[in-house]
Amino acid sequence: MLTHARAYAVVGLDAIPIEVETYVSERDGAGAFTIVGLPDKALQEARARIRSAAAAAGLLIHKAVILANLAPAEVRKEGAGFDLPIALAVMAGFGWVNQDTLGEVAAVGELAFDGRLRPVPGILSIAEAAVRDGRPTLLCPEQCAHEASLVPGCRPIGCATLREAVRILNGEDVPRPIVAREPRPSEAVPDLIDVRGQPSARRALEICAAGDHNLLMIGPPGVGKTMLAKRLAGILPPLDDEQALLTTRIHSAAGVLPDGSGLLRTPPFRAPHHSATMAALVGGGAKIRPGEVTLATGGVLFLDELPEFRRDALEALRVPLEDGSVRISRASGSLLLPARFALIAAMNPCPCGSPEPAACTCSRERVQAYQRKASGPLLDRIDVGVLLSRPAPEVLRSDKPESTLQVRKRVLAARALQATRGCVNGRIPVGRLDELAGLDEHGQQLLDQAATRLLLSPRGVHRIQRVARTIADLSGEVEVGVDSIAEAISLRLGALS
Amino acid sequence: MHIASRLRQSLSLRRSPAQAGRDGERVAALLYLCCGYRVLGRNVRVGGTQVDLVCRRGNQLVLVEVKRRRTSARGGARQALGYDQARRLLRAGMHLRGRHSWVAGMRVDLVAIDGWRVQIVRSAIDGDTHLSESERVML
Repeated sequence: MLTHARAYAVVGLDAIPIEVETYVSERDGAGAFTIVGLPDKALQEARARIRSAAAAAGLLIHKAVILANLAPAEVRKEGAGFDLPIALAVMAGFGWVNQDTLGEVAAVGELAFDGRLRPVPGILSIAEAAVRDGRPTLLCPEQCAHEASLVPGCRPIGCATLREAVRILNGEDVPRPIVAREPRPSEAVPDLIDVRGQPSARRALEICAAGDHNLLMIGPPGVGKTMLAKRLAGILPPLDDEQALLTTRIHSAAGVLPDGSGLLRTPPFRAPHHSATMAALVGGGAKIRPGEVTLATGGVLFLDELPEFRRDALEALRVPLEDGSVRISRASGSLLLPARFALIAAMNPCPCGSPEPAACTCSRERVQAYQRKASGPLLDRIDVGVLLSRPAPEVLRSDKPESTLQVRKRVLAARALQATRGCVNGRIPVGRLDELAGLDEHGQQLLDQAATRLLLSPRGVHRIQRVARTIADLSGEVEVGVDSIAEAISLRLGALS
Repeated sequence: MHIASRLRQSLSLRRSPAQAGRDGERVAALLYLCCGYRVLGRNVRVGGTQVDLVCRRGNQLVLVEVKRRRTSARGGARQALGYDQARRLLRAGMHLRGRHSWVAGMRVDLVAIDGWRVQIVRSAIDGDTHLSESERVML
C-alpha cells in the first residue's frame, strides 16, 4: 500500500518540503526496510529507530517489506528529523493511521528506541516552510512545540511519543496545550559601573551601541578592553519582532538555541576564540553551516586579540562587514546568509604588551608584522578606534562611572530617533547619506580637510558621516553639527597614530 | 498418534547422515502439509540453487531450508544456515516470485532439527541483513 507524509529538510536557514512516500507489503515475509532518496548515514539508521519505536507503540514491522522514498530525490536529506514522518507513513501503510489526516499535516522529530520523540534543530525554519506550504499543523516533539508556535500562523502539536502522535492523528487524543518551557536563567551581563577610568573608551562603546558602528580598541593588557566588550550586551537595545525571529531562526537552524529560550530578544554576543578558521567565522563546510558572522546577526561579533586571528579568516570579514550578508559557495550549492553585525575588536599595541611605548622590547619589525595582521582594507571598515591606556591609581580608586542603566537610556533614545528615519545609522545607504545625515557648510569644510589630511578613502568619509549622525542623535540634535563631525573624525582610526 | 509415530520413525539417526538429511526433509514436508500448506516441490533447482521445499498457502510463497544435526552442540541446526546460502535462497525466492503471478508475499523458513527436536523458524532470512541496498528495493 502506498502512503504519503510531509517532511521538511533544512537547507541553510530555510526548509524545503520533502514528500515521504512509503510502500508497505505483506505482514509476513522476508522483512526488509529500505530508504531511498539520498539519505545520509543518520537517516539510514532511522530504519532501526523506526522499527523499535513502532514495536514500542505496539506494531511489529520487522517481517514486512517497506520502501520509503524521499522526494525530490536529488536533494540530500540529513539528520534524524525524518524519523517521525517516515514512521507515520509506514503506520498508515499498516492501516494504523488515517492517511487522509496524515496528508494534511507536516511532521518532524527524531525517534528514540522506546518511541519517545526527541527534539531536532531548525524547528523555526521548518515551521515557517510548513505555513508557506499550506500545512499549518505541525506534529513535532513536545520540546519543540513552543519554538514552532513563535511562527505566526503555525499550529504545532507537541507529542511525547510516537504512540501519542498516532492517537492524535486518529482523533483518539486531543493535543496537549503548548507550554513554554522553563527558560534557563540567562547569564547576567556584568554592569558597566565596574569599568573605571576609561572615559573615552566608554564613550566610543556607547556610540557603537547607539549606531551599530564597528569598534577597535587598542591598549596594553589589563586595561579593560575585554571587560568593556563583555558589558556591551547590556546597553544594546532589544531586538524588534522581525529581527528577533530571524536571529532565533538562525540559531535554531544552527542547533545552538538553548532549551526553552523562546524568541531571542537580547542581541547575540558572539566571541569566537582567535583560533577560529575561516569556515567557522563566515560559514562553510561540506554541509553549509552558518558561521559566527551569521550567528551574530542583529548583535555583536567580538574579536579579542585581533592580530592573533588567522589572516584569511580576518580578510573574509571584509565582504560581510560591507554587505551585511555573505554568500557561501560549495560543491553542494551556494547559500546567501545574513551577516549584519557590529564588529568589536580588541588588540594590544605590540606583541610584548608593554604599557608604555618606551618600555616596549619588541623589534620594530615584529611590531609592524603584528599590526599588519589587521590589514588596511579591514581597518578601513572600522568606524571607531580608541586607544586605552593605564589609568592612574587614584583614578581607579575615585572614579564613579555611569551604570549600564544610565548609558542604556541614552542609547535607546538615540535608537528611537533612528527608528523614525527607518534606518540604523551604521547602515545608512550611501545614496541617502546626504538626506539623512547632511552636513552644514562648516561641517562639510572640516570633513573635506580631514579627508585630504588623513588620506581618507571615500568609504572612510561616508563612515565618518554615519558616526557623526549617531553622535548628534546621542546628544539629541536634529542637524549634524560641527562638533559631532569633529568628534567622529577624532574617532577615526587614522587620527590615532 | 499416527502422525507422531511416523515422525519418530523417520527421525531415526541410525542411518547415514545423507539418509538422515533426506528423512528430515520428509518430516519438514509433512509438517508443512499438516499446517495447511501445499508442497509444490522438493529439491527444486532454481537458477543453480537447490531449494529443499517449495510450499504455498494462499498467495504466500514459502521456501524451506531443512537443516539436521545429531545434537545441538556446536551451534546445532539453527546455526548451520550460512550467509551465502541464505542470500542464494532469498534470491531464488525472488526469482520464483517473478515467474508466478499468483505470488503476493514471499518468505524463506528454516526447519532446524537437532536429534529429535524439530523447530520451525519463520522468516529465518531477512532482507535487511542478507541483501544489498539495490537488491532490497526489488524485494
